Amino acid sequence: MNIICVKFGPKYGAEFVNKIYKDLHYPIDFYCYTDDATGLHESIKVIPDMGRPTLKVWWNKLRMFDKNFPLSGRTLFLDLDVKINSFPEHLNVCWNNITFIDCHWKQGKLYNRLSNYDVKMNSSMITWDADNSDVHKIWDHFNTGFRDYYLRKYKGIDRFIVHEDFEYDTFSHEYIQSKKYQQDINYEPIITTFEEMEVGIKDLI
Amino acid sequence: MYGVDDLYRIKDIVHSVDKNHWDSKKWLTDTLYKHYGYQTGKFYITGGWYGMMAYHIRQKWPLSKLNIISADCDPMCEEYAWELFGDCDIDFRTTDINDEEDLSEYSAIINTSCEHMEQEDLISIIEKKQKQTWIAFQTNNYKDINSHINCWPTAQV
Repeated sequence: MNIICVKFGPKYGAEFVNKIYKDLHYPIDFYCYTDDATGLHESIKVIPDMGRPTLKVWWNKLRMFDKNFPLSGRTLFLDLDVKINSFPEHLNVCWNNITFIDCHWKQGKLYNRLSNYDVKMNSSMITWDADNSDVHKIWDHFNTGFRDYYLRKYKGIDRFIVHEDFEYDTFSHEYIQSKKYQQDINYEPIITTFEEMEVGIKDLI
Repeated sequence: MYGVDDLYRIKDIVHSVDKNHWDSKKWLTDTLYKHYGYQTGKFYITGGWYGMMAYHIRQKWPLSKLNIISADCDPMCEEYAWELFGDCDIDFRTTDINDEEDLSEYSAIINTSCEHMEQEDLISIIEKKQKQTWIAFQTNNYKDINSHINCWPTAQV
């Protein structure tokens, strides 16, 4: 299984990538797709910025679904504001489908409204098969004459994927804890996400 | 996407004709008019969005002796531009500027969407145009907007 992080721009430094790498305590192929590899652990395999179209911040995550992205096979993505608790070597997911986090803590009519509003899916952790042509369609759909419109319309890739009607699976709820929305839980999540929170490296220790 | 029911298009169109866009495009038109000096020619507007830049050009050059082409790579921009400004003698098209190999027929090339475009594409336009073709490029310094990949911090070159 490939494991990959995406680091573009100055918000999160190399220490966030290195921490995720070190917290996964077994031999892995660990990649970082980035515009600046300075400070990355020497064992992390760097995938340099693939160039145009120029994208900013989290929109670079969509590039992982490009059929030309240099990864093959089962792949796990982790956001840099994720804390690894106890990560199993094998995940119980269907690798035929792309899988995201289900934000079951987001309740109410506010979510999943038409057009471009907030959604109940989160891409802090993603699994997919990098050779799956259905996943390539996400990038192909984005990288058209509508690309700039999508960048204006959607706040992030989560809303793009949901509102553009892509099908996906979601992880078991017990894999994930949202630090902001789930302060008290009775299970041991494999990761804790700090979505919608300002996070420093000390929060992830 | 919700096709013709894509509600965000409404906001996008309204935004395209707001005061900032109106004023900046009118400024470009007035300034180009002072320098261009002719009532004839063929203007190519790239990144023309829903057509307001072309509309301003037509207001300043009302005669059909000045041909105006407004192109955008978003197909819905052409569709709505025809709805908004279809009676203004403007040719709206869906085209990516990179697909326009021959820019020799144009007397001016206008781009008020530079902040959305790759720098190499802007340079390519300049390299492909004829020597006598006017260039009127406009960008902004709103660098925090995710679709703005090519801003400039000041009005100085």
